[in-house]
Amino acid sequence: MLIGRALESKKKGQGMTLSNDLLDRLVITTTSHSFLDWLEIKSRETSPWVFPFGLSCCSLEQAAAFHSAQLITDNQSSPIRVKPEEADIMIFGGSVTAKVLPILTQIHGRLKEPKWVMSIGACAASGGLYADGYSVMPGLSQHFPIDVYVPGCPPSPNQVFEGLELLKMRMGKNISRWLLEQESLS
Amino acid sequence: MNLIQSLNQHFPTLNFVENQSSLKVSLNTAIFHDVIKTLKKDLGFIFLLDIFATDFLSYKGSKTRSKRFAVTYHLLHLEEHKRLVVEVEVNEGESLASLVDLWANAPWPEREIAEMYGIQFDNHKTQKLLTPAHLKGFPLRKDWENSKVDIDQLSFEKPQFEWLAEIDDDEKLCRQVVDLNPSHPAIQGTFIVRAELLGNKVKRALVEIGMQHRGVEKIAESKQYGQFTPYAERLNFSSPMMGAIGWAKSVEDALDLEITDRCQALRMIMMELSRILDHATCLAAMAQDLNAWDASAIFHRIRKHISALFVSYNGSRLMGPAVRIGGMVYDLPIGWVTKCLDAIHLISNELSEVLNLLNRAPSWLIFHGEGEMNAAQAIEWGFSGPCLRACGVNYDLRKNSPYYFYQDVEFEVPLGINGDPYDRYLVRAEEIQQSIKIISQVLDHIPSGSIQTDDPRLAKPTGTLRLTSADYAKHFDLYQNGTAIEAGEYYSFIESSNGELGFHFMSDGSGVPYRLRVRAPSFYHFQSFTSSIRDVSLDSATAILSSLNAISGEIDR
Repeated sequence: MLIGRALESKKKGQGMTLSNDLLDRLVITTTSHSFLDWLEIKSRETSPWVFPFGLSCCSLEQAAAFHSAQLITDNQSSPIRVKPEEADIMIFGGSVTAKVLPILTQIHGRLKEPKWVMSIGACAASGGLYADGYSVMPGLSQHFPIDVYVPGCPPSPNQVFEGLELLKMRMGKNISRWLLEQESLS
Repeated sequence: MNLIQSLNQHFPTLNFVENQSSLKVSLNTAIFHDVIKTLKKDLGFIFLLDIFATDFLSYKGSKTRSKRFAVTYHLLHLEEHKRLVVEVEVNEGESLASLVDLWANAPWPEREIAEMYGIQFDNHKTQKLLTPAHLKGFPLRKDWENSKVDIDQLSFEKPQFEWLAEIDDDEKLCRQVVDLNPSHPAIQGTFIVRAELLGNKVKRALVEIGMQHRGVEKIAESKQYGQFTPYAERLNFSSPMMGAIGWAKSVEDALDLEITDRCQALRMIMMELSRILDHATCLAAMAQDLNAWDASAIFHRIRKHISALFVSYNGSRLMGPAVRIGGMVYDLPIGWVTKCLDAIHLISNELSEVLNLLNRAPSWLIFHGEGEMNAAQAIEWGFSGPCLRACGVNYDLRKNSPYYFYQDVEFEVPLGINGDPYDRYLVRAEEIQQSIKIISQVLDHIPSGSIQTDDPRLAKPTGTLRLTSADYAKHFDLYQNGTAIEAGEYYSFIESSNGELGFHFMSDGSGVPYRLRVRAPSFYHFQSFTSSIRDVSLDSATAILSSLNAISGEIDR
């Protein structure tokens, strides 16, 4: 049902308007249905809940990013430990081996819909240094859609934030690769 | 009577070959178990460093071999600081006697050999350890070819507990299974731990590793010595420079190359900074387990200071191209020494602040008396580094087999008594302070000179404005084929932040290693985890996990 609503709201152009008029600014005229959609999208954009899945080296920079003052002090911070079912974004950093891939796809399946995924580091994007080995899986986007790739080996926390900002912009417009794939399937 | 004499007296028929720091002996499959047993019981080789195998299918070295594989046992004499390499040749289809009856840390390396080479061991189960179930064949054999993975085949099954006969039905109902999730709470890596609880006590535990198995040892067989440095950096990713320096040192030792004084001093500074970085990461994770979030934030701040130093040194926070075989890439930038002095001053202030808070924190009482380990057990498990010293064993490679300028600087080796998480915490915290002491001493006396060796085997030709065609040819050869190392076997080690990090490699005279084995400390530390959390509470189990500082990059390689 959630998918349906999200798709619907995307088609209707978010379904509501706010007048510039001073009087009208205090009053919103809308249906409760589309208002809830709008609220969901807005709140998701401003304070997304993140499920971090640290795999290897990149997980340290990921942790450094989440420990830095920027995320802890502002009120947009996400709780540190969330379940996949509650999370809007899954962030995974590091090399994904054949052994860990089934776990990762399983967790992606459990994410709240619509799903946003950010991958951190060269290994997660293309296999990186380990691409010619036998164990690390390159090309993860054939297993589940990925919205933002942050390059680097490992990227610095600032780059992780930049990726997060990009993702937030997409969330504000309610665009996700997963939604697009669902649309093309139906 | 020295060691080699007593060895010859005990085994008059065997031929012990002495190298610079190690002894070597070749044995056959029939007698090796008894010989190793005597070596352990009577001759003091009580420490099993490593077991690994080599495939000699395409080896072009000087030695002619009758059998295809060789299994190498690496033993250590803790008093004489002598290492003994025992080599046992095996053919395909033959099985070896297992060492599980002698050492507690034998099972995992033996399982690894069985999965990577197909050499079976008697009297213990050898199911797969690192690679996934769908992988066919034995990856480290020279004639192995990777078959294409069918994506639909990929599956993962959680390890299941076997039903025990002595548990009755009532107790079975009371027991519950808890997964400590694949993503470790302190984000140090990935491994699965399943614990079976009775009340709040862990009764049994199963671990599954290999989530981060990246096949580094196989990749190394196609990389030049210099090209492997970034992989060595990524072994223990909380202190990357340590791995790179360890690798560079082992190649330099194999080349019998003396690096410049300034380079040695720089490497010491970088190693000690990395040690602080690593210990701070571990302590931050431990503080989280104590629910001391402020302390954890302070440890992350300490990490930040060191990351800033690395940024101003080589432009990268964590991993950067700083170490090169034969020297360092960059010299210290102007003003870096002042920055470093400021930083270590800040770090020592912040450390004393957080230690005041944490040393007497009442939360430690939760773990009191749980997860203790005595010295004999620690040696049995192959512990090294801070985890071994927390059990009271005074063994630090910086003191016992000093390299670089470690014998010229003053520092002390902190020791614990009980080997529980609290002692490991104290040892690590004190080691940070000792590292600060070492850094400030080295900073006072940095020698001047070059940071790169001018050895013609490694350095590109410089010095003249016009290069001759011979110079160009040499330059081309150096970059195309790499630096060749004489055929033979080499082992070198450093005291990394987790313990003895060793690189055992075999050269066939070309520019790429024929076989590389990484002796990673975390691999042996983490092996003890299942048995050390038996009959402790779940809270303590997570504290023991974070105090071991098990880094998945090192466990799985």
